[in-house]
Amino acid sequence: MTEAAPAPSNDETDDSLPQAVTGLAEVLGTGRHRALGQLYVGFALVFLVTIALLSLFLGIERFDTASFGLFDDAEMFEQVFSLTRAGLVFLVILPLTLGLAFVVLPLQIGARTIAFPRAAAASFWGWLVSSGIFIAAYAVNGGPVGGRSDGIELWLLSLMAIVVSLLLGTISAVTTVLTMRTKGMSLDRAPLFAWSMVVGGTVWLASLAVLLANLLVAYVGFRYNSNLVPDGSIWSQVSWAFGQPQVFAYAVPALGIVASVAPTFSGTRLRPHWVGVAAIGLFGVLGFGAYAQNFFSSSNFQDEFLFVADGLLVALPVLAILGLCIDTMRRGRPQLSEPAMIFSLGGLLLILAGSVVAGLQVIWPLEASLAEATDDGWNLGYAIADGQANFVLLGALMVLLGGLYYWEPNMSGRLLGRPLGLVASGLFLLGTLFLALPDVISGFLDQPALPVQLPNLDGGAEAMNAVALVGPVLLVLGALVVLFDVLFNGAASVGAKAGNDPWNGQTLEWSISSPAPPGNFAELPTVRSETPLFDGEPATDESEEA
Amino acid sequence: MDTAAVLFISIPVVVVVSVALIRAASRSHDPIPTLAASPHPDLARTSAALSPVVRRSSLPASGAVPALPAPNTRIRPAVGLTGTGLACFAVTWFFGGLLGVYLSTRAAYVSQTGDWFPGESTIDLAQPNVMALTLVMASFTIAWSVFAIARDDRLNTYLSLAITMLLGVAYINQAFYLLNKTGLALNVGDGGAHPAAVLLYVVGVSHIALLAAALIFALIVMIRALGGDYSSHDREGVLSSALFFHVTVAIYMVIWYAVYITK
Repeated sequence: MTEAAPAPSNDETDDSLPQAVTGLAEVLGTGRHRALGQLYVGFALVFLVTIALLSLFLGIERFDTASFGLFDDAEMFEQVFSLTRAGLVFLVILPLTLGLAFVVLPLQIGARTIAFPRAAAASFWGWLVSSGIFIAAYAVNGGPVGGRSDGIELWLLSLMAIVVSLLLGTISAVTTVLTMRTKGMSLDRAPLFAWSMVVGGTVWLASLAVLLANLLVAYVGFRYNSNLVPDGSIWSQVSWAFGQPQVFAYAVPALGIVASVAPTFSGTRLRPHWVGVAAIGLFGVLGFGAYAQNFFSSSNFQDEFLFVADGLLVALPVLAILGLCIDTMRRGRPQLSEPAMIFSLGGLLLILAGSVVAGLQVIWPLEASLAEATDDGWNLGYAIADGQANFVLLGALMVLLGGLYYWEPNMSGRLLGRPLGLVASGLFLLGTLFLALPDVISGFLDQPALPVQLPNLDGGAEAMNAVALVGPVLLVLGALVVLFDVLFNGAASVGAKAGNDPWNGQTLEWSISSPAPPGNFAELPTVRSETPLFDGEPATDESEEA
Repeated sequence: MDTAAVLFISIPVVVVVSVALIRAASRSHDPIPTLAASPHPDLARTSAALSPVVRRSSLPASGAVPALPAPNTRIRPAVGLTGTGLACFAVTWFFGGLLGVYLSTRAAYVSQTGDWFPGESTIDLAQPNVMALTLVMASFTIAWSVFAIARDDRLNTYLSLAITMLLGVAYINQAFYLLNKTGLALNVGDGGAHPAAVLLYVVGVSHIALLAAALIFALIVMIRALGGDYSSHDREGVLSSALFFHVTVAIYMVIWYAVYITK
C-alpha cells in the first residue's frame, strides 16, 4: 500500500496556518480595542435601562413619604437608592466612558491598538462578572443596609472587584494616550477627549484607589464584627464616592467630548486650544474628592476650607468650556439639529447647573449645606445633594451619549437614527431637569436626602416629589430609545452607512475608513497641529489597501 | 491626623505626580524625519477636500495656506514602564487611603480611651526594623539587576533577581510572624474584633499581598530573562519590575514609621 503524497497546498487554504477565531470564541477572547469598547458600551446601556427603571420605582415611592407602597420598609428604599447611585457611576457612566475610550482613543492618537489589550479584556470581563454579582448581592438581601451578612460581604467584595476592573481599564486607556501617540502629537496637541481621559483617568486612579481601601476596611471590619463599622454605616463610609466633589471626577471626560463634538458640528476649530487643556486639567483637580469623607475626619469635612473653595471654584472650568463652545459656534455654522450636538451641549449645561448648585451648598447663609442636615445614619444631607449629584452625573451621561452618537460610525460604520436621537436627547434633558431641579428646591425646604417615614414633611417638598416623578419616566423612555437605536441601527447594521467621515471631522479617527480596519493605520500619520484634518495636513494612511 | 493634614499631603501629591507623568510623556528623543508631503490619494486630506465652511474659516483672505508649526520631535516613554508607573500611582493612593483610616481612627481612639492596642498587645520594634532592613537590601539587589542588564551581564542579572526573591520571601515570613506576635486577633467571638486588630491586619496583609505581586513580577522577569529576553537595549521589563519593587519598599517605609514606630 502506497501512501499518496499530500497535494501541494495553496497558501490561502493551508490548514497548517492558524485559522481566524470566529463566533463566540472570538468575542470571549478578543483583545481588539473596538470590540472591547462595543461590549463595554452595550452592557452599560443595558444597565442604564435597569437603573432608570429603579429610579422610577424610587420616584413612585417618594410620591407619598408617609407610607410605603412599592417597598416593604425604609431599608428597602435605601437599598434601591444605593443601587441606583452606585449603579449609575460604576455600571453605567465609567464603563460607557471606558467603552468610548477603547474605541476612539487609538484612532484619535494614530495608534494601531490600545495599550495592554489583554488587561483591557480582563477589565471588561472582570467588570461584567462583578457587576452581575453586585446586583445578585442585592437580590439575596445584601447591599449596604441588607439584612443578610453574607449578602453584605458579597456586595462589598463585588464592588471592590468592579473598582479594580475599572482601574485596570483606566490604566490601559491612560497608557495608550501617554505612550502611543503618533509622530508630532505632543500632549498639548492631543485631541481634548484624549487629554480629558488622561486627566480623568489620573483622578480616578487616585480617588477610586482610596475607595478601594475604604471598602477593604469596611469588609474586614464587618466580617469580624468590629465596632469600627457599626451596623448600617457602610454606605455612609463610602457615600463620598457619589457626592460632591467626587461626582465631578466622573464628568471630566465629558468636557473633552463636548470640546470634540462642538467644533466638528460648527465647521471650525476650537481656540485657543490651551484654554480647553487648562480647563479640563483644573476640573480634574477640583473633582478629586477622596478627602471629603468621614473616615479621615474627626470634624465635619464640610467645614474645611478646601471643600468650600472647591464648591465655589468648580463652575469655572465648566464655564470656560462652555465659553469656548459658544465662541466656536459663533465663528462657525453650528448644526444644532444633530443629536450628538444636542446631547453634548445639553449635558454640559446640566453639569454647569450641578456645579452652580455645588456652590450653593457651601454658602453657609443659605443653610443648604450638608452639615446642617440630619445625620442619623442614613439621612445624610438634604435633598439638594441628590439634586446636585443628579445634575452632574446625568449631565455627564448625556454628553457620553452624545459621544456615542458622534463616534458610532467608528464602531459599526453606521449612523444612528437622527429622529430617534433627537427624541432621546429631549427626553434625557427634560427628564434630568424634572428629576434634579425639584430636589434642589426641596433641599431648601429641609427635605432629607432619603425622605422616607417622614409624615411631617413640608407640603412644598411633597409637591416637589410629585414633580420629580416625571423625571424618571422620561429617563426610562430616553434610555429605551437609545438602546433600541444602538441595537437596531448600530449593532444590527440597519442604519444608514456612515461613509468614512460623515461629520467632516477634524481629528485622526476620521482620516481612515469607518469602521476602522484591523490595525487601524497601515502607515502611521504625522501631525503638526491639534486638528490635523481641519488644517489639511498630509495624514498618510493606506489602511484601505491594507 | 486631621482632615487638613490629609488634604495638604494628598492634593500636592496628585498635582506633582500628574505633572511628572505628563513631563515623562513628553520626554525628548531623536528628531523624527519629516514625511514627504504626498498623501494617499484616497484618504489624505487637503484643504480642497474640506467642506466650504471649513475652508473659509481655515484659510486667510489671501487664500494662501498658512504655515503650520513643525512636527513635534518627541517620543513617548515605554508602554510597560508607563503602565507600571500608573499602577504604582494607584497602589500608593490605596495605601494612602488605608493609612489615612488607620491614623485618624487611632487618633480618635487614643483621645477617647488613652490606649490604641488593647490589653497586653503590643508591637515589638525589633521585628519591623529587621523587616525594613530586609526590604532595603532587596531594593539594592533589584537595582543591581537593572545595573547588570544595562551592561548585558546576564549572570549577575539572574543572581540579583534570585536574591531579591529570596529576601522578599524572607520578608513575607517575618511579616506573618509579626502579625502573630502582636497578640491581636480578628476572630474573637461575640465581642467583635478590636479596631486596632482590624486595621493592623488590613494594612499588614495588604502590604504582604503587594510584595507578593512584586515578587511574581520579578519572577516573570527572571524567567523571561532566562529565556533570552532583555538586554542593554531592551531592559524595560527589568526596569518596570524594579520600579514596582521600589514603590513597594517605599510604602513599607511609610508603614514602618506611621504604624510601627509611632504606634
